[in-house]
Amino acid sequence: MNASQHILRLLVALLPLAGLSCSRGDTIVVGAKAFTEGYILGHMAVLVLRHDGFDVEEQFGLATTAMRSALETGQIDLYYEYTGTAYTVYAKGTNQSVMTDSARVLDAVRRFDSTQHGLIWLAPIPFNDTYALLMRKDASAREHLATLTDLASAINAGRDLTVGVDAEFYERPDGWKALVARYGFPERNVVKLDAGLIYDALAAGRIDIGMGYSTDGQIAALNLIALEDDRRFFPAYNPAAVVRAELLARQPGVRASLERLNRIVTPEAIRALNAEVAMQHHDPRKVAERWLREKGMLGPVSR
Amino acid sequence: MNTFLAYIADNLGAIGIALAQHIGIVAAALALAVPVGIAAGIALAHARSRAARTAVFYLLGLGQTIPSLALLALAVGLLGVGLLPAIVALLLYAILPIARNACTGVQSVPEATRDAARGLGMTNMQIIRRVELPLARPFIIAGLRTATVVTISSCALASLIGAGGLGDFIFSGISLFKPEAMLAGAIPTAMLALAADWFLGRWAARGHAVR
Amino acid sequence: MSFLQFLHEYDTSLLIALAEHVRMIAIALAIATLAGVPLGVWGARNRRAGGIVLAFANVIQTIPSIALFGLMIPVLALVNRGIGTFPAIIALVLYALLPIIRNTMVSLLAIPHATLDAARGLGMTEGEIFRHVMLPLALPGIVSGIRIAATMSVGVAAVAAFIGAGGMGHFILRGIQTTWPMMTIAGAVGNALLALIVELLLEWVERALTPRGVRIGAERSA
Repeated sequence: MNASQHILRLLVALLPLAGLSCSRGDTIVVGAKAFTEGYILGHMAVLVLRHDGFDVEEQFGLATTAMRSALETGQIDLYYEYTGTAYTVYAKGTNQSVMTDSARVLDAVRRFDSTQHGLIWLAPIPFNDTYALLMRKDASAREHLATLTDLASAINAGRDLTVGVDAEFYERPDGWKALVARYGFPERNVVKLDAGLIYDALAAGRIDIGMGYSTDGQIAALNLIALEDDRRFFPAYNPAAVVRAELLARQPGVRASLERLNRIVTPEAIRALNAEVAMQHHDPRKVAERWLREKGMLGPVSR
Repeated sequence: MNTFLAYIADNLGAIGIALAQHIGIVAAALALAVPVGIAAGIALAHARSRAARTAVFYLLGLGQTIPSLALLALAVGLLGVGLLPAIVALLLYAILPIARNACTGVQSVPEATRDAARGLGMTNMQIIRRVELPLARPFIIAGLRTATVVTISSCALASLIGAGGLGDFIFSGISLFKPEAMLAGAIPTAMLALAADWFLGRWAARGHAVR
Repeated sequence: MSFLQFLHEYDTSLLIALAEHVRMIAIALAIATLAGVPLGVWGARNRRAGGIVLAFANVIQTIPSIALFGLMIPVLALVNRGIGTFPAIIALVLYALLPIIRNTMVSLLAIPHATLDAARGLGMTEGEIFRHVMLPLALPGIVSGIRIAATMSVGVAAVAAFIGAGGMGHFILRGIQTTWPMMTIAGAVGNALLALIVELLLEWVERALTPRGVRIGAERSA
């Protein structure tokens, strides 16, 4: 029928419309992992690139591996990844002496990604945002727990401790299941919930131990301490922009633009920025912009 | 396919536990939502003021436009994390379809039927129990059907707030890009919803055949 | 932070999210309508096919939204489109099909035979009957199906934030991630308002499209 032919033609014409945003010429698509620090770093990258005259688009808010696969398949051009994450989760590395050494783990992921995936690791930002198992200070003193070995012996002695982790950490090769195996204690009383809710649950005493990131602002604000990883289970996690090689070939200026950030984003700075977003609830977009302006990264301040 | 089967085999116990948790949460939410919803529906059907009835359903409908994800998150603010906020959020979500259908069902009972029952000397309570409820049954089951499917579906999101259930696997799978984990959560959830829908559909049909 | 301060702080982000949300739904609904209406017409002419199509759409509807979005990632990764708005739109289209197909079928089948016979008696061809009689009479019902699909899509699209589609759901998610109820509320209220606006808008379209003769009758019976 004539009408259905029309409809069919319209349908075919409309289908690519859905993917219109993906078709791009020289636009750089910047990704960001879905947690506070990920957003801040992502916005910073977008801001400095835009300031330097690049055409930039955002694709924020995906969980770890979805973001990575988007990068591998060219759906995005770059995002900030952590060396230890890439080594254990993507390169499936297991060498403890490599992964706990910042320089060696970077070397390993650099080699792996440039040969296998055509991805280039720019110079990392010099801070380590490791996973941490957190406890309230008072509870830690009361239970005499200061290290993960203490935690293992407490649980092995039958102490009833509830642990809160997110679904991702639970399954990761550098996550809960592997940690339990390394420290040698049975897995009991594990609650899986969104990482953002863990601090509330800790503060309210609904869980005894919770997963967090060492650069989170809540650790100091909520009087928490991180149990020491005394057997060095966790790798080094230095964030670096991972960029598709063909983007760098096409637009080599991207490297210099992004690496400018490395001089100013100190551990203290990122902790303060994380706290500003997570505790004072400011928009990561604006926090990043205000801070970069303050640091003179976005040219002369107008007004 | 092989990685998927291997994953299932490795995690069979955990999937079973998650399925049991999922069913448990849904059952708890519905166990509370069904009596409350049916009672509310009957009360609204008998309400004198038509405006009041419209207003109540309008408000309930407005509540339904709040995404279940948000309702779960807000429940955390009031009740902390874990099972309780999940059950409360899901039950609030399930009440509307049950109440609306119960109300429509009771309203569909012809006035003449009610008069006849009154003529037989039935009290109001007896009329509700012996006349209105049986006649409204197909409507009520249809509402229950919608509510059950929605609750099973939303319950997958309850994993985010520490309630457990099959959502644990879906979220692990999404964040770690492990299709096998995703499917290990998604397939049983979809099957559960389909099974509940089919079962309640059969139940409704059987009621029709008997009458 | 008060709500007004919140709006001020997040003005740009809110507007971007709103635009993403509306765009996602508009594209999904356009595709679902263009696919669903012809499928419904086909289903009304061929009851057997209609039954199969409806059963299929029904099964999709029972798949939990988070599971369907999650499934999109590995499936569409095969064509390198597993994340962002593209998979979200595909999933939304799949969800929106059922109400549109069902309403199209039901409204076409509800047209009295006498009406069609009368049209035939006037010497109209089948094509003319379809265009001048059946379509106008079925249109309000079809639009009503689109309205149901639209309202539902607004809510389902909120969950698409998990696969990086942005939209108001992103605010709900960020509210959870930073334990900040106000942000969740902002996302939820935005979502509810959007659902309401879409509903009212399409209700108005539905009424405007109802042929006058049918409308008077409908109003009398209401």
